Amino acid sequence: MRVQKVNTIAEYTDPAAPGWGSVEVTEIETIPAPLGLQPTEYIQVSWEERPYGALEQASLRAVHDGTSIAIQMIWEDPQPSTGAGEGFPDGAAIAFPVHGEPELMQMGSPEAPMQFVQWQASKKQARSVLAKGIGSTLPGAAVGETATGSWSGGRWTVVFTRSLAGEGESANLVPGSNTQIGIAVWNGSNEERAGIKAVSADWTALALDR
Amino acid sequence: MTDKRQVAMVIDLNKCIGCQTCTIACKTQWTNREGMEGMWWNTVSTSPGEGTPKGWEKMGGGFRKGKAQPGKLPKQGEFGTAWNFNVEEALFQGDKHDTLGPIGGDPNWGTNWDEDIGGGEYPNSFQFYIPRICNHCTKPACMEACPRGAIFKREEDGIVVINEDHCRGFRFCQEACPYKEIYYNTVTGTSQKCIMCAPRLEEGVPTACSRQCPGRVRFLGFLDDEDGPIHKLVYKYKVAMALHPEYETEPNVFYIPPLAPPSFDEEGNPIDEDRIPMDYLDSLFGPAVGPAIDLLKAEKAKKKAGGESDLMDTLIARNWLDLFGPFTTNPKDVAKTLEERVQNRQG
Amino acid sequence: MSKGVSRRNFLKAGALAAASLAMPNFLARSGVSLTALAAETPPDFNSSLDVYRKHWTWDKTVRGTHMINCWYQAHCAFDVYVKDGIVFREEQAAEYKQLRPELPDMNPRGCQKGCSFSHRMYETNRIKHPMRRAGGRGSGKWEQVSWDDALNDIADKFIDTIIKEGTDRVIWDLGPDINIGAANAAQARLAQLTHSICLDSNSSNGDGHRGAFETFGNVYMERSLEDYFYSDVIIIWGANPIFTSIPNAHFFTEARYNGTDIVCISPDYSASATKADLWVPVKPGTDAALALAICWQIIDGGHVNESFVSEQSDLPILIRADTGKFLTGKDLDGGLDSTFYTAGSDGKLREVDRKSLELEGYKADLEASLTVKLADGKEVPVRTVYTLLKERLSVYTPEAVSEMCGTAPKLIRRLAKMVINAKALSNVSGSSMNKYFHGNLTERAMILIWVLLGQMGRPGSGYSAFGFLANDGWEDYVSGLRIKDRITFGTEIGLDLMWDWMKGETSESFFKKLSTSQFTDPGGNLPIWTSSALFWHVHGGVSELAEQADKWVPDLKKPVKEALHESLEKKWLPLQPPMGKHPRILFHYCSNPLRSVRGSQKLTEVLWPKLSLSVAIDFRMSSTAKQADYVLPAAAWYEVTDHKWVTPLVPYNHVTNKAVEPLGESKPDFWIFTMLAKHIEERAKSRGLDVVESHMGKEIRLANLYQDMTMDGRFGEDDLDSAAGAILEQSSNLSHVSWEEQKETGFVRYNSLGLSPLSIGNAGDLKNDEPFIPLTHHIDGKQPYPTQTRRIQFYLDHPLYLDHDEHLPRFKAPPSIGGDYPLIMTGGHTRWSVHSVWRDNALMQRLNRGQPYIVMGQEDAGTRSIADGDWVRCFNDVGEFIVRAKVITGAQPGQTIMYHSWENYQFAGSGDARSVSPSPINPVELAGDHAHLKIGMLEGQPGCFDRDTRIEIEKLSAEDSARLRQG
Repeated sequence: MRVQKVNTIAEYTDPAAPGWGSVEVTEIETIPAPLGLQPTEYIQVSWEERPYGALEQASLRAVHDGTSIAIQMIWEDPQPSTGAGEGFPDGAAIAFPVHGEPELMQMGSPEAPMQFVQWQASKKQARSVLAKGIGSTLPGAAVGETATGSWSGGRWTVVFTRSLAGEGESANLVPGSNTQIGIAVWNGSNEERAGIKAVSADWTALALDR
Repeated sequence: MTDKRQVAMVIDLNKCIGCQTCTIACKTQWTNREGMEGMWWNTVSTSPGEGTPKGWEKMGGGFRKGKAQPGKLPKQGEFGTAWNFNVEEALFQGDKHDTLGPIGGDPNWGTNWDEDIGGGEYPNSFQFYIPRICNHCTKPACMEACPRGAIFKREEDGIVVINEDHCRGFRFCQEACPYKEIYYNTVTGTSQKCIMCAPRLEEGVPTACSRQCPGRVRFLGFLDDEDGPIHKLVYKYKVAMALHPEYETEPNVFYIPPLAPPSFDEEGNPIDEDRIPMDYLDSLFGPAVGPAIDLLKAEKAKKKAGGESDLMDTLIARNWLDLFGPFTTNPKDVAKTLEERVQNRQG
Repeated sequence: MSKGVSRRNFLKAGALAAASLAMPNFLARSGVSLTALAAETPPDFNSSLDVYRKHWTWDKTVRGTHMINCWYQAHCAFDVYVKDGIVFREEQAAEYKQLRPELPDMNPRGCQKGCSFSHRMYETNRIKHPMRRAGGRGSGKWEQVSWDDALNDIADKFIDTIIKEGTDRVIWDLGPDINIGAANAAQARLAQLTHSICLDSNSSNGDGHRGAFETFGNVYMERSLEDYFYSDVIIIWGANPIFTSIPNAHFFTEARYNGTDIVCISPDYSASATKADLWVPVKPGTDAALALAICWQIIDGGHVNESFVSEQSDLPILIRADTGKFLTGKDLDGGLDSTFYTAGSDGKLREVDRKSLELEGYKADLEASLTVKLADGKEVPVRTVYTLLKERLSVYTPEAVSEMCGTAPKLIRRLAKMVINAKALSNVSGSSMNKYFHGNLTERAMILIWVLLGQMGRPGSGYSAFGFLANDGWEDYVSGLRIKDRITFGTEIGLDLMWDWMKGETSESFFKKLSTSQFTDPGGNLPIWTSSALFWHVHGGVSELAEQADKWVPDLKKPVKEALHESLEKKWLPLQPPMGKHPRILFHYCSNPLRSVRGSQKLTEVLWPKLSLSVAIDFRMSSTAKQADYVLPAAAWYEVTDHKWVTPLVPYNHVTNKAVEPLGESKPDFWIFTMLAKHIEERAKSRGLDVVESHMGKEIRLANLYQDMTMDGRFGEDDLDSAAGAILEQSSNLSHVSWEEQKETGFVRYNSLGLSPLSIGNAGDLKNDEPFIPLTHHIDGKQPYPTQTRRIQFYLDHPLYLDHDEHLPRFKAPPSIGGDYPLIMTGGHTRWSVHSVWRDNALMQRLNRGQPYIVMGQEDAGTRSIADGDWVRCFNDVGEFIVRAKVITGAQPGQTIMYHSWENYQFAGSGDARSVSPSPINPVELAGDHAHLKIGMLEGQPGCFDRDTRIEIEKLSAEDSARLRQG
């Protein structure tokens, strides 16, 4: 997946920004996060008979301006859930390896962590999250992360942004070089949360234009 | 090195009068903060009845033959909504026909909606009160279920605590807890539950629900304290037992099962049949309940005949502080600020 | 320990979890939490629990209590926790000492209501400013006014009324929550200085214990809680202590474990019945029949304690067969009509000793039957009370009684056997029986059980009626710290009392006389009281509701209203102001009559239009405050320093300390009354008024009112604390501990009953190290009772009693009050409120149903197609109200229960629970021209009855529900 260089990503932060029309689309396929990898027996047992992660793919576009990256993600969701009150919110995340070769399905490991930016329909602000294995997520280093979502016509369009640079335990994205991206989508109306989600089966290569 | 210990509670259903002082004590102690209005970490329900949350015994969770069981996520409406009332309109602005009532219309369920409804048919009606808190289980289903490891069981006292800094509000714990003792705070987005008054126990003060109970219903102490009443009641006399042991979480709250006056035959004459059907008690407390009831009756008869009974004397607990094992400090004597308390520990 | 360390631990937990997917997590984690760290410095003060630890911190605590009359369950010492100037919590002090090792201690006294007063005091319904009505009465339109404006206007109307129409047109409507402390002393002092009228609300509350009064000449008899532990049978009868005596209940449940049998007699399988060893269901209002069946089993089985009844009761006293009256000295030789006779087995008459119960070996013949020659030469047969009683009781066989009360004969026999075999028999007193029309008969029948068996005055043994224990310095304060001088130096009442003493009267009778005098002519400096039941019936128009009473009550000799007027005209009972003189100003203090008075719908219709001013003094908006002209904001109980009366159940004076400043502009009651005196004085002076004459001819020193009120400035409006202390310093039974120490400890054990007319009837020795047992002064000390015969008296030869065939205990079926309807609307105090003080509290309601409901059984609901939660209409000939139904398994078919104290404004539509309860006066209770059936403080007044109310209930359709709920 290519990340085109643009003058400024400010023109792309709106999910419906016209600029996105001219950006190349990459379809990323998703599968239900494997039940066997769910971190607790309870979750495995309670979702054994229950479908989740039904989403099959999401459409991604990405641009950067040398400082920050904006990624637009679009997926089908006929029944949006904002997570008001007791409901579970729809959500999505984009993940990058921090260092080493983290297993996406395993949410990384202490040796090979990963970082992701998460959007939830219930919250205005995006979250940066660091993961070193399933069930281990902690607040990640601040990377100027934002996420804006909008639902219409049976689908969500969310734009994530973050700075390219990342220090310490955060993914550092460098123009002109390659990294990887993974995604996850939670369908709130199906009570999807935590590891109950649709995920990209593996990393997708991400090439940032110089 | 601290030994692994377990704080436990024995609740005597023969002394419980359903007054809900424990419920209120807990409310004014912990759950009077934002987002916690509808939370009752301590409840008292009339049994038989739907309980709190409504129909919790049919919601699943816990373990069967060691395997986690799916559970239903309890909803706020099932716990009971914290109604607000139209006080301004009805009392300070209204005319005489304005009725004070819950905003949002007629309620049809509440935390204690089933109070004193009971079971059976008059005159063989039956009922008793069951107070419930988090059971601080030896095998906490909530802790097992949490994908974030945000629930831990303290080594020094076995209290099961949700680390609210780490909790993300996924609520698998709510589903997995077969007792449905965990609430969700929609303001903080985290799950919250009874903390066994850990801050009080740390200062040697009994839990609010125990100390404030005017019925003197609750014994508190360490399960392994062989001289304490809890050990006696649970292990020696076997008159205290867990609620729904078949959930396999090994609760550390135990109950003395309820006695009741004799029931009546069709002419209204008292007969020896138990007013509370034994199969109903079995369904709550398992097969140990029958022998426990028999022993309670036999020991009372002994007392009535002028004999001695260590079991009855233990349950009477003439000296109130005997209920609380090592936790006998009066809360007013505790250091007022956290800083002082930390200092006291270090000094 | 740093935050980072703790976080690493959680990381470790997470990692382990991921690595061990197949393992149940508790195995993987139980060793992981904070083990090592906890061992070093337990507990971990940086964990997520810190939020909770911080939540439980405070600036200060003070001892407090609640100035409310929860009666049997009242009196609980609390610690009040204050943070940032706010009371954020309270918790029981729980420092009562164990009296003896074999007895449970009293800790921790308190209930869910007391434990959440901090919530109640800050609720939206708290009144924060003086308010004046800005629209019609009850319009809900208010304007905020200054204290000055409010008090000036009230003072002006006060002066207008007393100079134009008389001081008795100003009424202090005092509810049950008066404290016999400084707040209430200020009110009473203002009343006595202005000769305005105080209402004794006990009778209209339905708490009169008329049967005890008729039998003992006294209602005050109650043990201390620990004494129950010495009972081997405790009967819960006419009470539901599991609801209404929450802090006391453990004495019963623990006694049960100790081998005591608990018996509960009630129509419904009540919460108290669930704690019993034997539950005896009885039809509502038929308990007298059951009691008399037990009495007959006692007599028929030869179990009467003859020496006890011969010495203590009137059973051996002779009754004339011709008149049905006691044989008196006047009959025999023109002597005193207060001389009565017994006869020995030799047939010789002997005068009943009025000075002592001691028989000195004399044996009266309990079944004497002889003929005596009267002074006029007439020969009349005489027989003993016992003989007449025995004849009367012979019809109460278990089989016959079963037909009356619905209890199976075998069960009646089993109950009687338990009672007869009891070594120490006690009862748990409540006030339910008083609320039945024939409740006096029931209570007399119940007392008869205890007396026949001689089950009185020993540890664990005795009948409890009405509990009260008060300081005896209060009257001194009210009268200006002068009462003792007054008695000593022989004013009229002092001389009168001295004469009594010379005649051998007991101090009990002595103070009873003082109590009665306060209703007729209290002398110079005590307040004037009047019976609230009479007041609401006559001035409030409630008696108009009972005009059909002869249809409801089968054996009325004349219409209730006629009987009432006869009693008032003949001055059997005093009423102030008298019939025909309209009340003009009502001060509602600790009172909420529009909620509490049965048939209160009449009050706004009949009484309110006569009023020039209605002032509600309260901390919260009550049903009555809503209809007032002024609402004056009173400080709440954690905002004042004062003390309050108790009962012998918990014989400790209880003190509340000011924890925080009064909210908004609210002021302590003491301040309000004192400032009102000041404003009256100022306004009187500005009008050039000095002294006016009261309706009784007393000089009312208007121009010196503030000076007199404050005792020449000694107790000004801000001196509540020292006034409260002064009362205790004047008290013979509480001055042994300094006021400062009492404030510190919050509770102090009384060292004797003292001399208050509200306590002295308990007639026992209150000691530091043993439970209190009432009536031992009579039973052991042989002191005579304050009755006509100076004995426990079952025979009442008053014409009203003879006319109604109630001269001896008997059973009368409960009348159909309200009309011929199939359901009886019983009631009971709720566990959710004390009076209405917590009834609309959000916390309590969230644990209840949020709206009023009527309780009914499954069968009655089923036949009416009513399901739990349905809206229903409850109605009879008098009125109607709508509520939701609560369908339970424990209600007797035919019985409904309308639990106590919903505020009128909680009912949808125009009616409320009082609307169907006309509460006709029972004519025998109008007696007053009698040696002991006369009015006194809290006793000897007609009762109010709602438990016999008959209703029908119908399910409301959705349309009807919507229409009726609009009102």
